[in-house]
Amino acid sequence: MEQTKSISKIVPTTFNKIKKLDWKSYFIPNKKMLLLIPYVVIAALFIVTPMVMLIVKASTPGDGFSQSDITSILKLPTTGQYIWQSVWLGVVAAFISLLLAFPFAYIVSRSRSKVFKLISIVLIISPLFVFTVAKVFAMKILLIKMYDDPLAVNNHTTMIIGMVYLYMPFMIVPLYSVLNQMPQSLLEASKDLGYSRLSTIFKVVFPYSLKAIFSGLAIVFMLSATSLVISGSLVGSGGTPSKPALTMIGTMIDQKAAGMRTDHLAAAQGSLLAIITIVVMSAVYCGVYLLPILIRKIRGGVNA
Amino acid sequence: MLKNILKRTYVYFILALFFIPMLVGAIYSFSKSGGRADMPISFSPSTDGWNQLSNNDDIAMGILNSVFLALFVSLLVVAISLLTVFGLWRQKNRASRAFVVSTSNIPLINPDVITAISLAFVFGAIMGTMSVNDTGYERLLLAQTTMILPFAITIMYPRSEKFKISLMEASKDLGYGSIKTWFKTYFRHMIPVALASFAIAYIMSLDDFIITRIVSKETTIGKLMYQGTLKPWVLALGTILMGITLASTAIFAVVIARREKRLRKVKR
Repeated sequence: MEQTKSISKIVPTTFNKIKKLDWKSYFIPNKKMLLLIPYVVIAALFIVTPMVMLIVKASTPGDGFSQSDITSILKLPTTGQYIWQSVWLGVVAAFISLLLAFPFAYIVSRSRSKVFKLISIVLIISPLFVFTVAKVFAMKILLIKMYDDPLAVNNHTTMIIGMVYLYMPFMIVPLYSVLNQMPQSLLEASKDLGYSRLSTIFKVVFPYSLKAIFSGLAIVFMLSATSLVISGSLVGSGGTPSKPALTMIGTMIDQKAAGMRTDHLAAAQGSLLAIITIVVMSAVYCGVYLLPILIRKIRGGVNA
Repeated sequence: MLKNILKRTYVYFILALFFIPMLVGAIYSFSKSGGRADMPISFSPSTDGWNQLSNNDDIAMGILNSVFLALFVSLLVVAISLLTVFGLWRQKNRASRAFVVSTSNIPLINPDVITAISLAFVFGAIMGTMSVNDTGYERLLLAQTTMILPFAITIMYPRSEKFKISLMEASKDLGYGSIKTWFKTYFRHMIPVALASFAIAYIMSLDDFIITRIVSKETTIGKLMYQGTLKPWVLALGTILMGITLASTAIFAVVIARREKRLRKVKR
């Protein structure tokens, strides 16, 4: 007690500041917050308000149609089918990306040559700087060549190939950044304790990068499941009357959005679909994201 | 040794998976367009795709439009995110930090289609029903900025938090004013990530067609590419961009390799 008093006499200002920081500062405005004004205005007007308006649109019938007209879109057999199709295609694409990306990220991050490391990672990121539509068209040509039939592209396999091709870099980047920081001593310790190389990967490297794995899975899933180019450009015109082009939920919302300006019912139905998509996708996203935490809890906090 | 070769082969294999389709695309940019249908499977040599890039007025307009739009969007994005990130640096008010983090997550997670239609509602409410004559350049600018801003903030935030206040204090002690100090210390510290965010914002704006189509009637290159079927000029444009990217990668590689060599010499 005596000591604290003497310290506070010597450095009264700092001491008081620290004390203040502890309990009140959470909401106290300060001058520096002025810098945040541009962002706050944009966020309030164009991020928060739109979400509110989406809910309002989906729940208020306009002139000429009722609430049941809006929800009628959910009764279409295609709606559920499109959502389900988007979800499972997204999940499969995410796991295939992981299977291909993990060895890549691991090998590159463990490489001793700095030049090899940097060039590999830059090369894998560089396709992201090319127009998505151009990449999809290039992929489409390759697939048409392989099937030797333009209409054969209209299947689930090609869609998954397209998704992996477009979005796998988003899996590699988080994996690489975590594995690159993994200390070499961890691997050496595992070797000294008698683990083989393979079991080291499963028992040491995998748990170490668990968080990156799941964030990568979540990103690739979200991008794939809600993609517009996959069903729009890759298989888009490959449909025939007997076998229509495979459609995903993003395209369905987009079709509703096209008539939104004049057709208020389409706008309302589009927003309802959008809300349902957000709910379904975030449920899967949260599931994927919370899984590692759950695994840790069940295991009894080995890594905690 | 053999293991090393195997490992490298896998890396090259994955890289090949990414570059083979683009190579095919580059080759087929010299093929004839299929008219209304998709491109024919058989390769029939023609420079139509490349000619269209330079001769077609619509495409030229679209490119010009996109180039300037992307420039404005990325300048706006970098400026606002710099301010925001600096505002959050040593920010004692925790509530404001929570607000920025949680709101910027919304466009990051939401699909572009949903962001676009929700924005269209807001623009409709603020600016009245979209009139026939109005192409909606401002709407597009605002919408793209809103969509890209969270990405830039997410990229810049970690580096900004690492900035040390002692640098600023030293500069002030040396007699610089606060604005000059900001540019000489904080801004300099942020240049690498600011450039990275600029590049990413630029590409995202160029690539966007979802928001453009729903929010405005403006003709951009992204929108033209997405419309209709497979067109050789899209492949030609993609090839040009790929060429630029690969060339910069090559320059980057040479620079890094040289630096490595120099470092090795110093170590010896």
